[in-house]
Amino acid sequence: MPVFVLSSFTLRRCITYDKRESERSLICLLGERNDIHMSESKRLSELECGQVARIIELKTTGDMRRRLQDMGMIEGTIVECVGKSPLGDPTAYLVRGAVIALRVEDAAGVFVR
Amino acid sequence: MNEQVLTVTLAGNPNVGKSTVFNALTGMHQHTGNWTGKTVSTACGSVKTAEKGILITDVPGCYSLKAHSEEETVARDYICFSGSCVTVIVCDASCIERGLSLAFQVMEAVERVVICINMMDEASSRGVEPDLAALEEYLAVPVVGTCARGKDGLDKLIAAVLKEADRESKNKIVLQYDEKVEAAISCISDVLSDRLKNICVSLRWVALKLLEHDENVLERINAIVGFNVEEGFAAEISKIESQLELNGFSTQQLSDHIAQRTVKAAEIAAMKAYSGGRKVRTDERDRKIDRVLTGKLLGFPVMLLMVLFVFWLTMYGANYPSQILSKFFLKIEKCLHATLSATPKWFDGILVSGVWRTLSWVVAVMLPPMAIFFPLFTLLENLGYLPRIAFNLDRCFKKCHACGKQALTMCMGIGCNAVGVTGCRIIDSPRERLIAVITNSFVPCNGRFPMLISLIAIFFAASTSKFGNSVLSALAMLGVMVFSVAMTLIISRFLSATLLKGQSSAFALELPPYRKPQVGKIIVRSVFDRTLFVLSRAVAAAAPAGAVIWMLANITLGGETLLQHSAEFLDPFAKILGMDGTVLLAFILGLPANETVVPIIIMTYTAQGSLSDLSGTAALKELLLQNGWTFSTAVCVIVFSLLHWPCATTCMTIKKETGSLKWTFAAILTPTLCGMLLCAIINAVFRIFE
Repeated sequence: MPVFVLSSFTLRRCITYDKRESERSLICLLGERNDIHMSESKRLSELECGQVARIIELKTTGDMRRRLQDMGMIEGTIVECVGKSPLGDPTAYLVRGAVIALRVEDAAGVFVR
Repeated sequence: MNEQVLTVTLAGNPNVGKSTVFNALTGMHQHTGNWTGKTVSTACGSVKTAEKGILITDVPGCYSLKAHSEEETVARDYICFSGSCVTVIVCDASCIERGLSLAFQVMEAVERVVICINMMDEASSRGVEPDLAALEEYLAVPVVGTCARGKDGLDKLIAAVLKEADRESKNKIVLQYDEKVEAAISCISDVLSDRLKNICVSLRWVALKLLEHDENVLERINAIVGFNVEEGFAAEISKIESQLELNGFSTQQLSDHIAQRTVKAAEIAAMKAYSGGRKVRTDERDRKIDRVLTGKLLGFPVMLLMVLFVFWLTMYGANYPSQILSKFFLKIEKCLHATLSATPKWFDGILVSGVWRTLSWVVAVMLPPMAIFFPLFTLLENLGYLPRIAFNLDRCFKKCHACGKQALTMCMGIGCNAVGVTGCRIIDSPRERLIAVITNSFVPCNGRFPMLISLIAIFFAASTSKFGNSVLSALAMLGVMVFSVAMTLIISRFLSATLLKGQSSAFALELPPYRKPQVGKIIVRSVFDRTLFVLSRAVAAAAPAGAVIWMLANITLGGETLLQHSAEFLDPFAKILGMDGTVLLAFILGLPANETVVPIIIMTYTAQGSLSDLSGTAALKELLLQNGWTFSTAVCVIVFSLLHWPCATTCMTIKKETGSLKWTFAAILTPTLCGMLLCAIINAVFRIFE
């Protein structure tokens, strides 16, 4: 089976998923945050303002699933709830350095710990 | 590359300052045709270098090449299929990771990529210092740090683009998936390579899209290659797919796998860049501001006060220059009359009483408020406040089964409804987008603002002091805005229950960091790009309208002018709506541009009665009162000016954006019927109490 494809690219390099590197990435991501609750899984929508959690599963489907992934929300991503709208919905989350507002029903499809 | 002109596409996440890079590269004189703050369509500009010319295209911001909304489709299509030589991915230096995940996708699709890390100054002030050399070494594509605001690093960017365009061998990093997926990709691209020759995007990428069943992209590819790729290779694809599914990759799992690998790759690459130790982004300041601006207690009061202040400053500040301008134009009018006294009466009439008077009204009444309002509005936009409005109001829109981003398109509609309608591309769901398009004209655009301002000043501001008047006017204007937002919400709800049935769909809105606005640039850009643009369009519409209306007002048929005939014809119907035939006629004749409504009213009234000196609101008030206007007439006219057919430009934009006559008619009929119904009710209520 040919691994390399003859397309417009003549040479390629591969990204290796070195195990050590992944571990380092996790440590780096967790950084100084020791306040992560290693408790029961719950929905992202249940997160209180100021709480930090790690995504364990995306249960949304279709467009929204991909949209969340595009914004960097995959399993293992750390999210922080940073504020609620004056009317209580939507809620703003800090994801990989950007603040993203999600509605309750969309955030409910994301399970965190 | 021997071509003289090098084509470059500028892509990136939203809010990373792509347009700033674009403007800094191409100079301030580029007419982008885009309202600053949100790029919804592509904009082109050129740079001259010693060797060759570079044609740069700025595309709307996107998070990935998987397009969800219309604006992202525009971006994706341009990045992948325009065949430009080099694609520049602009990233925010303090948030590289997400920019890089787009970069990985783009590198997968196109050949020559340069990464531009923008806003280096902001990053260093936040204590984040990306190591560009390490990143460049890792990605094996040029990485250039810029600070487009301060015009730093742009020379290096241009040089990198030129070098990349000439580079022969490619060694850039390419996302590598699970080996089973890789095998499937290479099988499919082998099959494709025979028949897809004239496509500028990489076959590997096309193969991935086929496996992912990304219909949106495949449609585009089909259109380019001239046959249905999916059907053409159906047998091969389904074979490979079932093989892949056996190996544990269903379409859904594959899509997840691709997304995860992309995000992870960006994460690793970002770590290379932050090798010197990454600090957690310090945006405590933003959170503090957000706690006030979107706080439970303060969110709404601050929002209302802010809008009130903008209106107050606009009205208070515009009052005086408006009067000076009218006096000045009136003086010129007298001079013109004197110089043209030898010419036939009709010539002098059309030119001076028709064209000049309409023009001077439009300029005198529109220019000062716009010159104040637009910079203030642009300031709020540059600060990053507008997405917070959408954030605050989303709950209301959700209740109406619409999208919170509609609040953003409404804000754009305040500038110009046609722009607001185009802006609706930011809304993902087609159903919600249509709702936003249809209700956009409920928000008064600046063509209608002067009329609202004058009427409010005449009929609502009854206080004796000038300051008190301006506060009263601003409050009344705020009331008008609240009314138009309320109507938008009610009609959105109504539409989602009838014509556009459905629940509200997913919603993800980014709240960009607050940024220090560049006051000087704001003034320059808002004056040149917006004020003069809108004013010149109004003038272009008003000049011929003035001539036509003067003729209608002066050609007599059976002792009465044509204008009077038509006004009388409309009068019985207009009376039901609490207005008179003249006003309704003015609204009908104002179809090309709403700015001309008041000049038409003035001209019709003055043609009937004595020709008075219209140098200010006092004279206008007298004229209106002479013609039987009351408080109820003013209310009805204000309501009708908010709720009637959109102007011709907006109608054409709606036709273009929806691609359907049916929805264009819906967008015309919905506000018109609402306006007529409400005016009739208001009029009836006033009649009862009189």
